[in-house]
Amino acid sequence: MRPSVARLLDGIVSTLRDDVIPHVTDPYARGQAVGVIDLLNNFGARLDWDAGQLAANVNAKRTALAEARALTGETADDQTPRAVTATAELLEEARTLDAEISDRLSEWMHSDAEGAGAAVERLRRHMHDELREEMKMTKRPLFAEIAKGG
Amino acid sequence: MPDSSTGMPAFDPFDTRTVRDQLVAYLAEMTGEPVEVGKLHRFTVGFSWVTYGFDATWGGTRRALILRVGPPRGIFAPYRARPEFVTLQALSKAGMPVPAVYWHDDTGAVFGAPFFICEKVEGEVPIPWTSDGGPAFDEDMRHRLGHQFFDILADLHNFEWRGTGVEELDEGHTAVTVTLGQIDAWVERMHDWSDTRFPMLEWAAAWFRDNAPVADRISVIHGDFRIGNFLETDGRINAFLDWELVHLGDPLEDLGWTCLRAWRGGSDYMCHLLTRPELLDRYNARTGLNVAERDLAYWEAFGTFKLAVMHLGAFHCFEKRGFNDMRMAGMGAQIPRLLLQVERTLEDAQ
Repeated sequence: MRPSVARLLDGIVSTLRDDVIPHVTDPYARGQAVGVIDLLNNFGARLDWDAGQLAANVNAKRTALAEARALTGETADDQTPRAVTATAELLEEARTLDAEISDRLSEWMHSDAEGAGAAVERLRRHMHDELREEMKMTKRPLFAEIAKGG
Repeated sequence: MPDSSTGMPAFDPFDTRTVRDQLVAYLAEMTGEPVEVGKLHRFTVGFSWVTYGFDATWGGTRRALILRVGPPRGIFAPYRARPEFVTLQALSKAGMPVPAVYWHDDTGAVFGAPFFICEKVEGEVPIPWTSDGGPAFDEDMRHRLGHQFFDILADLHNFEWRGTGVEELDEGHTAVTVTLGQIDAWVERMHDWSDTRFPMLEWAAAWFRDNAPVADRISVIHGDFRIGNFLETDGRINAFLDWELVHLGDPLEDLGWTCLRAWRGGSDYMCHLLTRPELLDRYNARTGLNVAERDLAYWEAFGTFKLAVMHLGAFHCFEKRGFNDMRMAGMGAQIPRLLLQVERTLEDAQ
């Protein structure tokens, strides 16, 4: 799940300004928090999601879908690796492919056609692998600390 | 300041002075006499309803009360207080450990959002997350709380809701359709909250539909029955809270929800309380149902699916509705972890 980078940074800045800084009594700590806002204000507009990682993600979806189709006898798409383009385009393509994978899963789950079961398995393997990749970048949630206030 | 389009007051959870003024006027109207209201204390736990504690005095009696307001930009907005209100009213009358309720309103005329007022029950709220991932309770406390916890759940599912105010929640489902109704409701939420489709969740929803069990009975379902939603003092559960997801359904929906990994980490104790065999023995004996581990597996998977969808809702609140709670943005980052849990629990259920 990827928020827009602009919204993420805006949320962080607002939280620091409205919910955190007014309650920080130590002047140095308050100054550091304002410093974080300053950094985000200055560098934020230049930050974006990693287009290379997104392109790899899109390519994996396209490959899984093409291989699943081939298992059911459909003609495979051109599998030329996707060039790295703007993140907005890649995010849109990822959304489109996820919708198609979702529809195909549902179709093949309920189909007796030859290869349908294997196609479902191929897409499931893709889903699992993709999540495993995501988990390599996901830290354990800090729920205990959040609940106790640090 | 009123909302110019509706003429209703606009609810601002941080503006406790205005909320307090509105509360004082409302209580005076309801009681028919002047009411003294102490300082409003906003509780920061929870992701959904905004909760304030306060003392109010009228008729010479001082009462500790809770005001819960459903924020217009909250996860489950638009909110309705009435389902929770009528349920708590009926369960309280039946002697169940729930807060006594006073008043509610869904028009928005008082605070600009639905709300209800109930008693403030004393106690501590044990939470499911331990800092080192270890046990939440010692053995004695685990058994004491665990037995009460699952007995209360069994009593809720034994509660005869027909003929009480809870009948208002009846959508006419049968034992065959009631689970399908829940699946459809959560799929609708999933699509409302995310314009990105998640193949893992779509696959799960299709499997839940294809394998939906027939309910043995239709009971009152809490909807979020777990550690973190009850108050206890010295090992005695005083009250179960957070009934916002209450509905009528298959009782195993609540039972499966107690088994989620999210409420126990790596522990073998569901909600850090009882093992599966322990809870099944206790629950079956008290309800007369014959729930097996396999039945539980379907509902644990469905519960994990629901939790993943709730994370989409929290993320949607942050991303699209301008709800600036960083915890909600953080929940978006945990969706891959939950999707893998959906996969694992579904494989266990198959």
